[in-house]
Amino acid sequence: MTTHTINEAAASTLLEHSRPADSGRKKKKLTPLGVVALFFTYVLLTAVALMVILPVFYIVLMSFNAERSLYIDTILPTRYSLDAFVRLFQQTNYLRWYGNTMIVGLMTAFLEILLVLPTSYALSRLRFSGRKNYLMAFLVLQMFPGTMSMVAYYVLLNMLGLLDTHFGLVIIFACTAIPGSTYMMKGYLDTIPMALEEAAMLDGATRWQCVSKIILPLAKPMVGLLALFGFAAPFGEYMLTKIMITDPNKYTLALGVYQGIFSKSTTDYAMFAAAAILSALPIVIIYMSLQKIIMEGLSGATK
Amino acid sequence: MRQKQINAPGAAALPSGAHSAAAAEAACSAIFCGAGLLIQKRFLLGTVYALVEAAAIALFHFWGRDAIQGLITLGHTPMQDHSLVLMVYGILAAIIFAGYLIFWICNIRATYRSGLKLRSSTYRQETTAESLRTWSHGHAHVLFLAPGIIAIAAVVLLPLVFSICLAFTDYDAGHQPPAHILNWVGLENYRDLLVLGQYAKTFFGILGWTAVWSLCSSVLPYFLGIILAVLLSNPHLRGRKFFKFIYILPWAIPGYITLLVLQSMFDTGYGFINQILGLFGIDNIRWLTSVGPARCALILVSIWTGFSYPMMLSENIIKNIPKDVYEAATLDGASSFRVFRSITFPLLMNSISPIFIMSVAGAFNNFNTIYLITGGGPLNLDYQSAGSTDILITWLFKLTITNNKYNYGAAISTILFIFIAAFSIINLRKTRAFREEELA
Repeated sequence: MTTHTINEAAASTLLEHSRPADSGRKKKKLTPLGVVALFFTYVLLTAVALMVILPVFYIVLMSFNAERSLYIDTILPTRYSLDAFVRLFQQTNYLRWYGNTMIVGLMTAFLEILLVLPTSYALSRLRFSGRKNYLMAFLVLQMFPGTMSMVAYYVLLNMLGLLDTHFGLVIIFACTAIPGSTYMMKGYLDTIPMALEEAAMLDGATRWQCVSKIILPLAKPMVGLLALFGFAAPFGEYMLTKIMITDPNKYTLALGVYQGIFSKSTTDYAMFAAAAILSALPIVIIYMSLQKIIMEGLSGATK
Repeated sequence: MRQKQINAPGAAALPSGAHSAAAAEAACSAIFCGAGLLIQKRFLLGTVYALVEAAAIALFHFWGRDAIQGLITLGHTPMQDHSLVLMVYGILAAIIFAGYLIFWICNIRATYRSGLKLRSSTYRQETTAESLRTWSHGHAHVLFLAPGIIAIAAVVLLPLVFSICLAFTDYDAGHQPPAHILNWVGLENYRDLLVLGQYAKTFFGILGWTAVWSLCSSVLPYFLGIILAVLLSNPHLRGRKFFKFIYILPWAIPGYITLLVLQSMFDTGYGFINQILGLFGIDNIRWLTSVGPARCALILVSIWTGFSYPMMLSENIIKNIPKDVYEAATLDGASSFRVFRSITFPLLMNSISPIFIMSVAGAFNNFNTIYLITGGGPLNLDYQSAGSTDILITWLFKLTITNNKYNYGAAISTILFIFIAAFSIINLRKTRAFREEELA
């Protein structure tokens, strides 16, 4: 019974979300001033879109460049080939870096969710003394970047024998993300009405049943979002990885692309472009295709 | 709230002397955890508490004492004592015993409360199973919070305290453990950084640019993002989906890739941007090697990489403003500008301001953009191992990694820590979203 009403409620909010912004408002007829405004709106939107798309367009063209160097005489390449991609797989350990990054990403996502779920549940659903202090502490702690503690991480991982291992990276990525992720998850859980659980409890459900049958299914978008962020972390993190990982066989993509390709004395720029595109592609595809879920998660967190 | 009322001693009448008797039992618990509970004949809980105390004493005797001592002395014999390791153990011990202290206080409080409950007129004997259930009900949060808190204590708090400690030592290229024993030097590093000579000059120079940078690189992307979201909400607009798709790209591409690509586009001789500008007769701007253009380039890059997120947020907020508010406003004859100024904008600001504040703090620490675009360059000869576009966090990275001035790096870390904490707490307290949470 309860789950049914939830689904209905969820469905109606979803419908509301998917409706274009204007559908509720009646379209007014365009005044002359409105036409001018609309014209400038298009101009501005197009200009910004161009600014965004140019670098993407540029790097895609460069990856198909038959020449290796960035230093070409024309603005855009004149001869195109797939050589850069072939070189990327033949001359570097690219696939290995890719695999490493995936492993670190998956493990980070898993560990992070495992740690964040109970914490955020407690902060959202349980009332206990000191709760606000926890919230404040989390809010402050999430603002400290790993760079600040890099010496400490180095010493600690060294002591534990985890330096130059993927597991060490996973621990750092996952645990440093806990305060921020907990805060987002807590915000999302707060939007799930307490009445649902109270009704279920009256019907004799245990706390655990409430969590597994009500909270978890409804929190799926946020769980997915946090898992995604956790997964993407090693794809984008360069600095800490550089300090922790020295073995080229354990490089993640960020490290490999920078150390192994970009910062070489004679940069094979076409190869870098190819590597950049292939590295970005999965994350871009996931983010773009899950846009709606991501927005739902984020908007829940900001409420 | 509800649970608190269940646990509270309740309004039931208490016989005279109940308070002092409970206080006496609490005092027993203060001397040895759980003692008061045992006197109250709550044997199970009392034993558990007592065991925790026994474990804590054993831990202190066999390990904690040495660990704390190690933190104080940082070791005696080079090559045998490793100051950094001793420091880590010492801090770990301090954190564990701080946790124990909290447990000790809870134990006293629990004894006092249960003493009052025992003597209240409505008290009735609970079975073990029942009392276990009430106990677990009141302490569920401990169980839920424990994994997260322990992880944070070990991976966030411990390194943070460690960095703060380093700032008070002489750990640099000339004093590297285990060959040297580190010494506590008090505020010497701060004096060097803030008052003396070239480091002070560098510090305040960089601080100024850091302030400008963190404001520009957070305000401008938010500004652009909000404008785009408002423009996109125009009901007559076509191709909204297409524009949105493009605008989300910068957010979806992993940061370091964007930064490396943009860095090469800013190349002076052959970069894409200068080649395009060349078509308009603007020659060779030295984007990355002269101060002004380098700073402009950084801010441009921060706008490029940063506007998507606020755009998505504000778009979503605008979409979720109830339609009837608009209808009412239109019925009252409000112009669309007036509607924006009085409805959309305030609601937008209200929801977005806490996130904006966090993004200012984030920009303060935007290591990647600075490091991967200009690397802090061009080199500034007036500065001590820093360039003109270095911000505090990249300078501390250079001091630590390149110059092995670990103590100075840590001192800057600590200053950053204080800045960020103060800034965000003060501002977050002001935002409405947070105040509402406090009332909840």
